[in-house]
Amino acid sequence: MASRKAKERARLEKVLQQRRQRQPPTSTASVLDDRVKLTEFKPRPAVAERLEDAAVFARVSREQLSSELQAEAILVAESLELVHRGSFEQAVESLKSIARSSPYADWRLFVRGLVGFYNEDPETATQNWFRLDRDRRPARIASTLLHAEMETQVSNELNPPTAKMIETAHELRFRPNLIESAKRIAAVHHRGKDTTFSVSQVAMLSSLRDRFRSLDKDFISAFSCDCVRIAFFQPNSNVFKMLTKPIAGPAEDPNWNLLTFQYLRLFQGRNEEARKSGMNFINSDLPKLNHLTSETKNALVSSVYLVFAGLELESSNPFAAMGMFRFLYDEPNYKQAENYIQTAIQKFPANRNAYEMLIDTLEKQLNVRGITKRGEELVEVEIIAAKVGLVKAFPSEVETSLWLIDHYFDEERLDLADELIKKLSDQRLDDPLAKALPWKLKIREAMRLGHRKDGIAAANSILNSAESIWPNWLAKDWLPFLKAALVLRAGDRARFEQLVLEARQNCGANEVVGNVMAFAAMQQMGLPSNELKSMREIVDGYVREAERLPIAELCSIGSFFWDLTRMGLRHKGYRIHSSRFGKAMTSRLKDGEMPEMNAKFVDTCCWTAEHRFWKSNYDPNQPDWIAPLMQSDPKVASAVLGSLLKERYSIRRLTELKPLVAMVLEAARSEKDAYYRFRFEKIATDAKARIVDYEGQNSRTRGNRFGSMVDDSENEDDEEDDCMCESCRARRAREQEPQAAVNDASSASSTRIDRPSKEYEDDEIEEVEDELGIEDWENDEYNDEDDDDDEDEDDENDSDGFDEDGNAIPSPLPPRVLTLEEKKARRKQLQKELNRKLSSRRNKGKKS
Amino acid sequence: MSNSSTNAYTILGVTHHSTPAEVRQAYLAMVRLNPPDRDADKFREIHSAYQILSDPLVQAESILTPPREPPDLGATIAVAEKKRPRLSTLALLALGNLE
Repeated sequence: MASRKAKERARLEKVLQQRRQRQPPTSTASVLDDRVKLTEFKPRPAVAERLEDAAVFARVSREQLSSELQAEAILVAESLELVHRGSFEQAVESLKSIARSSPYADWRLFVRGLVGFYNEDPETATQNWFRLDRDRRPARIASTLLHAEMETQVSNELNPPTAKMIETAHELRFRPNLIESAKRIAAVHHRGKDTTFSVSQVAMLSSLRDRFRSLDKDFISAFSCDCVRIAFFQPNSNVFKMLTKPIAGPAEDPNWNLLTFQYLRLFQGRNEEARKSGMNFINSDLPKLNHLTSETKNALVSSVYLVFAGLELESSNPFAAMGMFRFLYDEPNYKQAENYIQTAIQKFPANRNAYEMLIDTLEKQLNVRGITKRGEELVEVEIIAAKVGLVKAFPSEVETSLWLIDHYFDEERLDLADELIKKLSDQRLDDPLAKALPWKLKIREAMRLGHRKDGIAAANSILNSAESIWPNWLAKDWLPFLKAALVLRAGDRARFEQLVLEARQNCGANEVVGNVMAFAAMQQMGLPSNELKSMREIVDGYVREAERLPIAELCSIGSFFWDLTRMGLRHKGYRIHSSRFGKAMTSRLKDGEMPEMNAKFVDTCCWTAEHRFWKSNYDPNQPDWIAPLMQSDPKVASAVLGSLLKERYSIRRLTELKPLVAMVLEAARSEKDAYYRFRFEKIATDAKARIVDYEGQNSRTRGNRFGSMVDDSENEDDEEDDCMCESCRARRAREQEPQAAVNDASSASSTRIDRPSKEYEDDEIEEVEDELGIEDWENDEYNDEDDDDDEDEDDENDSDGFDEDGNAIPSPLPPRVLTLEEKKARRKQLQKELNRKLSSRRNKGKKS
Repeated sequence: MSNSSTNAYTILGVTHHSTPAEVRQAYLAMVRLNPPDRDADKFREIHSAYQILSDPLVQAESILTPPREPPDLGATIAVAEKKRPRLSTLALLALGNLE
């Protein structure tokens, strides 16, 4: 394998060498270039030239001047250098000390004119230059520049330069050869669909850089860097390496380590090489980038480590993004990824992406195959720690803070919850849920106190104070049930029943809905199970009969559960009831039963969408009944979008629902309810960002991700040399003939194996071949000569993996392509097997 | 890269490959053109765009983000054709040689 590669590389280098030696096509421009010999173009003092002028560039002349004049000559030389670097003001300023009577006054004028000339201000240039002494060097330079630039006789005030000098100046300023060569490189047409920069272009660029290096460094550098970036878009790492080796990278990536890192990670199986380049950048290049602040450097290291983590998390499963076939592939190395993310956080603690990635990585671990209960618990602890870290680093992080507050409520760590609530209230947040946290804290406190008999009075008074700060966007229907539950907790059942009846009448709930609400309140107030038992049996009965309950009652129950969901006050023990009611509701809606369209039904739709009660493994999309509702009601639309945002593999569906996002965003502007107004805006903004991100990623990765493609490094000949003229075609044929012969010979000797026909009979061999499943030794699977053809065929059949709407379509499992080494090993194994079988048959025959 | 930083690049007229120094230069130029007393809203927009792009993490992301599409060599050549280079000091002085 290695020798084949080495041979191939040697051949490639030979071809390149030949190409480099080949003369470029003759043109007037190239003739000019040869004649001018720019590298040898240096100032030479003329015989009769004034010493002061020659002193500007010739040390011998300078030494013959007085010390004052020597200092002025040096000033002029430095000023010219400043002009060259673009520091015009500084250049003019530096010559102010030269007196008008000084012999260097002419140079002062010249520099002023030169600045005007470079600033494309011919008036300033000519105003200064026409005052120059015609017989001195500054006037000659000025005259040459004006003639070369304006291509006409400017004035008789300056002596006209020679045609050769004008030509030279023209070459220096307009660079016709350089531009022509660059255009030729840009115009190369590629035959291979994946080729963006061919080997022949590399050779042309190398020649351009050699010839014009001294002419226009800035352009050559920018042009070469662009060529490297173009090569970044093709799966041919040899061309990329050929370019990055001699070309200096931009200021922030001088050795192309960062781009190489990004490039190699596009290939499957080259993550280690990519990581090495990334580490080279961090350890060797980054410390030398003095133009970056230390904060930016740390942020850069942090971001690179996050990409390392991303590489570690990348699954070998091509369908991982769609959540498919997970059982067929190994899980990623989560621990290693976690280490990288922790390093990223350590390097730059204000990296929000790092915390989010850490939480995401930990959450993924909860779904790892075969995870134990204990393992789950440990991961959950880590998730909480990561969320605490995120909230510490970003105190304005509302969503995670709310999650943590709920978690602390559930764990009855009200002190921690209170601390977080105070932090959030200091920030004057717009989120109505965040604003309602003091109210929620009171409700939770009342519920906690209600668990103990001696806390009932305090719980009652806290409930009363909660009533005064009850959020406007939430109905108070449940409050009387909570108070009634406290009465039952105190042991007064008759009063409890009376209060429940009153509460039902006040909110217009019938018996079924009232009992469901009462049961929820009793659970939250921590009533003992013997007191809950009778009500539990009643509600269990409703759950069993859910298929037969009037659908309007189910809607009322749904509306109540939606309120509980919005408040985040659903009791753990009530989730089973809730989901059973939800599933019964969705099943009846699916069967075509449609209730009256009112607020309660909309709430129910929001509730079912939020929890995706309709979801099954076979039909992850929304059911038909909700489609017209989500088109017409922004609340339902936002609930559907919200549920999709929570799903990991829902981005395609989310993209399909783009018009809904616009509708919800529009509704946010006119919505009066503070809760929905905020919810609409948040969901629509998040969905929009996710879609933009997905579409951006798509446009970046399409045709750019080489994971499924072979590195074309060894197929450069297919791509390069695009000239179709007769002589080029003939030359290519000449070049290919001997190579083809060498290839044939080497492949025949190294890869094919002889059919064992000498020792055994043909029939016998065929029988064993059948047994081993070998149809034909010439079969492609075992011989690599035809591999190229196969690849071509694959290319032709290859779609870009997207349907007409630009959505990713799941492709069938990619065919397993054997590497050369694998093919050899397989061949060897088959040969051995064949010989073994034949010899054992022979032995058996002898014995019998 | 987030939407806000994408907008910030557009507002300041720089690309995500621009160096921090270039971003600052562009910001100062924009402020010179839109001082706060002339158009307070525009100035605020420019200032917040600069703040976003001065964020070390945004700068790091812009350095780390690979090109999204191949650059157009034709455009680079066109710019070079339009913008002629300044001559090196020696070449400039040599234009005054007497043959």
